Amino acid sequence: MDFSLEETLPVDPRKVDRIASPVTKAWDIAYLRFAKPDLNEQAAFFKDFGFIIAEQTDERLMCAVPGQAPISSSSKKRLKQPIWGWVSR
Amino acid sequence: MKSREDLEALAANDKVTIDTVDGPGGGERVRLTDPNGFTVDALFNRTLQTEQPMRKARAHNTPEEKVRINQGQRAPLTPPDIARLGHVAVLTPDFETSMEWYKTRLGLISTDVLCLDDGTPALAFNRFDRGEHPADHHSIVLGTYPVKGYEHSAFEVHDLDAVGLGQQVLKQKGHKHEWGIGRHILGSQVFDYWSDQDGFKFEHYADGDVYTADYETGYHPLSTQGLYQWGQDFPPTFTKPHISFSFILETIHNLRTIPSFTFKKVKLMIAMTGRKARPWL
Repeated sequence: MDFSLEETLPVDPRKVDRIASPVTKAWDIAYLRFAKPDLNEQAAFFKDFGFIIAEQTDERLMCAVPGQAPISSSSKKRLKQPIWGWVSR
Repeated sequence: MKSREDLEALAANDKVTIDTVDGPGGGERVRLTDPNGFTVDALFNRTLQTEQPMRKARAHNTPEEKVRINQGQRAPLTPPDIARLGHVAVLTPDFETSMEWYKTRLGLISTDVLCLDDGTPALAFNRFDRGEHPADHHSIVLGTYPVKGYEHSAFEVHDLDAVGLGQQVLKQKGHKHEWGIGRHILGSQVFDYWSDQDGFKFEHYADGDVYTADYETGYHPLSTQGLYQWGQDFPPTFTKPHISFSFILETIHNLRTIPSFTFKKVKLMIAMTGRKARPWL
């Protein structure tokens, strides 16, 4: 067996350098937000996945994750794209 | 953010205002828009939820050490306790600009970068710069794709049994399974992917890698070959785009307007996704 889990590149890669002085250094990812057409269906999936439903109205569904800020909400309003949020500790 | 000064710096950098958050968690927010049009909130002074009781990780017997005596290995057949949101993977036709945007504003470090055969970076697993404190192998994944979009998000559970029994529950409830259970190579997570009723992918994972800021970036080829060490065969449908009229229109538009998104890049990407996963089999 001469296979390795780690593959090697055929050429030298173009390096992805670090930014010397970024504007901030974020600590963690806080939440995601999605635009969803059916909040009841969404709640059913989220419950089976393991989320705790913290709040459900006609307009929004909030899921909670223990020890973190409320993280994942769906809005019935058709947002163009998902939203991500970042926080520190 | 670590301080209000961080919010002020971001607000000044992008010429936006600092707002008070009206919803759950409270605190203050700077709302940014990334090069793809996704909204990114930077938050400070959030009120975290109080800790809720969660089960502990299961104890495992090893050949050297038997920690479980007169006791079976039984995790509950319930949805797993979700411990935390671990990462989100974002697809973008403008990988270079997106990387620059996120790294400049959030200080991300690339843990592992996947490159095309000509050495061009095409996908990056990025972690937070926590100095000497370890951060997840990746919290924000950016990957080149013909159109922008959400790929998946991943949530950490306690142990392998939580991943396994979580699968049993989702299966029993009739949800759509995507891929798993297996163990990734980059990040090492034991994973299981499911999709919701709208086709949005969500991942349960356990036992992922963490790195401090001094760990150097690794470079690897972009291919299905590097995706996992063991587990269910990789289904080709997992990364296959849903080719619709709007997908084609957006792809053509992106090829014409984004300098770094070229036909050559698309050709190299298609060639690499065709490689065999787990070449030792």
